[in-house]
Amino acid sequence: MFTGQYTYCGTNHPTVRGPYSGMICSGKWSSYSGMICSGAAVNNIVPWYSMHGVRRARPSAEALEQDKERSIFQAGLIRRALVIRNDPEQSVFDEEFEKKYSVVQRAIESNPDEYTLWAFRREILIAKSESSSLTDDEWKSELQLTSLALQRHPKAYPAWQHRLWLLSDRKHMSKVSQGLRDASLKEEQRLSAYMLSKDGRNFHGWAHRMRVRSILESKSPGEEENMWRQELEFVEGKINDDFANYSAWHHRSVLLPRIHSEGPNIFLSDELQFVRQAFYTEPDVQSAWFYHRWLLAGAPARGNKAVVVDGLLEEELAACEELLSIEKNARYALQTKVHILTKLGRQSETTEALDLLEKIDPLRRGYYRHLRKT
Amino acid sequence: MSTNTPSYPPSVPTERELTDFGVQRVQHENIFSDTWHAQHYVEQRVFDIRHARPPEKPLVLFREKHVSWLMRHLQYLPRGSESFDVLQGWSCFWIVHSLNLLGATIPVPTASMVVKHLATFKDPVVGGYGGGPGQSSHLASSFSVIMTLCGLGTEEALMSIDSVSLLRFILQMKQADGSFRVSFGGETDVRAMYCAICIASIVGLLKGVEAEKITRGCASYVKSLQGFDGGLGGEPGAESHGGNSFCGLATLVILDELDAVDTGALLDWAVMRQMAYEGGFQGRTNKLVDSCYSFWVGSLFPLLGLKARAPAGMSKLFDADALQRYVLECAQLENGGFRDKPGTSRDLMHSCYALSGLSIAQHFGEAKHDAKNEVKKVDPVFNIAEDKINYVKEFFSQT
Repeated sequence: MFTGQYTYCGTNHPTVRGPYSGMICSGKWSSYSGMICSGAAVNNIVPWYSMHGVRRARPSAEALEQDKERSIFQAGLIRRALVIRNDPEQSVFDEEFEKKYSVVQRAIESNPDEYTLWAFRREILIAKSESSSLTDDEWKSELQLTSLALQRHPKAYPAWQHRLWLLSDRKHMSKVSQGLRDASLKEEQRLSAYMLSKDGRNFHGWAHRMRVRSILESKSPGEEENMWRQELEFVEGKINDDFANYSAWHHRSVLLPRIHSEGPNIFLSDELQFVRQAFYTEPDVQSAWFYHRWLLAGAPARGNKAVVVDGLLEEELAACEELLSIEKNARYALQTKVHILTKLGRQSETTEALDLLEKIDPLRRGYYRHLRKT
Repeated sequence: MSTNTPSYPPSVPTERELTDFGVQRVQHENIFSDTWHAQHYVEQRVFDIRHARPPEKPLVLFREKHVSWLMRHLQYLPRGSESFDVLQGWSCFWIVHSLNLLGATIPVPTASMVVKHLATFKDPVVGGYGGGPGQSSHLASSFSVIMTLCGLGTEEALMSIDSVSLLRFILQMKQADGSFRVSFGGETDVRAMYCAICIASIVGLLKGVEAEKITRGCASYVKSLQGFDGGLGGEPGAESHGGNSFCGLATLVILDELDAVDTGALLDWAVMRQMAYEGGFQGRTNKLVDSCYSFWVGSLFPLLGLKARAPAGMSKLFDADALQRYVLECAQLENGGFRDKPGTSRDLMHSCYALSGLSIAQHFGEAKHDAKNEVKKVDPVFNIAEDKINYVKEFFSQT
């Protein structure tokens, strides 16, 4: 369960609504991941639809000129960084190197998509590690560099990859003190929790959680089930925040079979109750219905046999009918009803539902006709 | 920013809406989160656009505007390399492919200029191409460059492809478990696999002795990507996603291993991605419509049709007319280019995939169109105009 501490930087930033839901800047809250106030970044993220009804001012000639100068300046930084990398005479042990190398950091902070520069930074770190000159501070500041880059560009593949490499590479990072690395790993899920609080659908954040978890699992065998249960709590929190967070439902479907490796019997009826509550509250939210369908199939997962429970399908059918008696046109309830009746071998009873579906969901007419035939 | 929901046209569907579209829209009162707020907003913008256009007016493709906008970008390319953008190869591909679909001819000197420009992205040591001059090799960049050269289709373009060095790079990206990294120390996911297999297939590497080294473990990797809902994610355990589903399925088609995944479940997933009101596709459940998924998700239907006994039936499982209408009405801009959705700006990437999606709707779906708004037929596996791919296959089969 995420229990991160926030300290505010003291400045008031306007809250911003949108897919990056309204957040007041949170300042430095961990001495290991060293997240720096990203107030400026939050200010600049204005969801595209927030401009509705507001006359968008044309950017002034000065602003355009400044933008142009900024991009020329950035290009210059990147060019200098690439020149340093591609210079065969260059050595990390040259006196002038550190000064020249600082340009790479500046280039990468604002352009984290430059995968070549991240690769360059890895080459330098490996060279330092092999000559035993890599310090703990350097490693820590490299980690901070990635978190800075990610706060500005939450979806930059190379930045996430670089961070993962810093935490997981055993061969080259072994010179960094064990205590520091272990502590950083323990705190690492806070980064993804933070990123997911800004955008709960950021699949990079979710993937990072998965990968960090598997590193932690390999370090403490026997603790896996505890970790998975902690993760399940996190996922459940995300679902309760917003039933439409499909990423959270997806990760639930990955976690449950792992926790209950003996089979889905154990969790099936609880899950059905949980999901029924979700779709009764919000019958138009697709997420819960797709998850429901997976449960109806017996929650099949690799390694788990699908479960067929007598009477389960009839029970769920009754739940759908009950919902449909209140909300006649609940599209997903109708689809589920058709699906269950087909599974029960009662195709002849699906005609009415399919007729209604063709009327209210005409784009899928061809699909509903296809269902009639099978 | 005000937290009030926008007061806008009445939430109860009007008579006109029901007769025109008969579709349920997001209920105004149910807005409780950002997801719904955003979805409601998109539907409002689409509603505005639809009702601003008289229904008798046919859907127009602003061909000349698109062509001249794209040609301007093409001419600008060498100067654009000052930006050290990592997507320079992609920009070339998006432009060249869009021009091909629009039926425009690229003048020979321009094509030659592009070929020479792309040659500067080569990584002479490692093989393959980077995102721009001086950048290290990357599978996605290599893919974009190869596809651009194939799209240009001139002898100079195809002769500049060095299959030996490409093989060297691909094999270096291959991992022990069968997957591919995108670059040295880079991420591993299905996009990398698709790029590698695609390049290998086009350039004739899948017929050689090294083929097994490239294809080993690919089918089982794609199989591990299928999620609980039938879609494919980017890596094992990841959420189902339109772009990754395309990459996974197209890989299986090239390797002739369609049975590795549950195609029925994938089909069900794909059908549900079409937005009931907007007509375009979303990339994941509960996300917004985006014109680039017109291709990524739209192409799943002809690809799945390759297995079905009645491939023509696949074309009816999505509403091609609605897709075409979304692309031409909401994504297309009158001064040239295509955008993601109303409220965003046009860009090269969306122009490319919106046009590819339009081609799928017209040639694989049964979208009603005429000679004036027709685009060329696209090959759904490689995303290249069909008349180009045949020439390329012949060229590489002879070398």
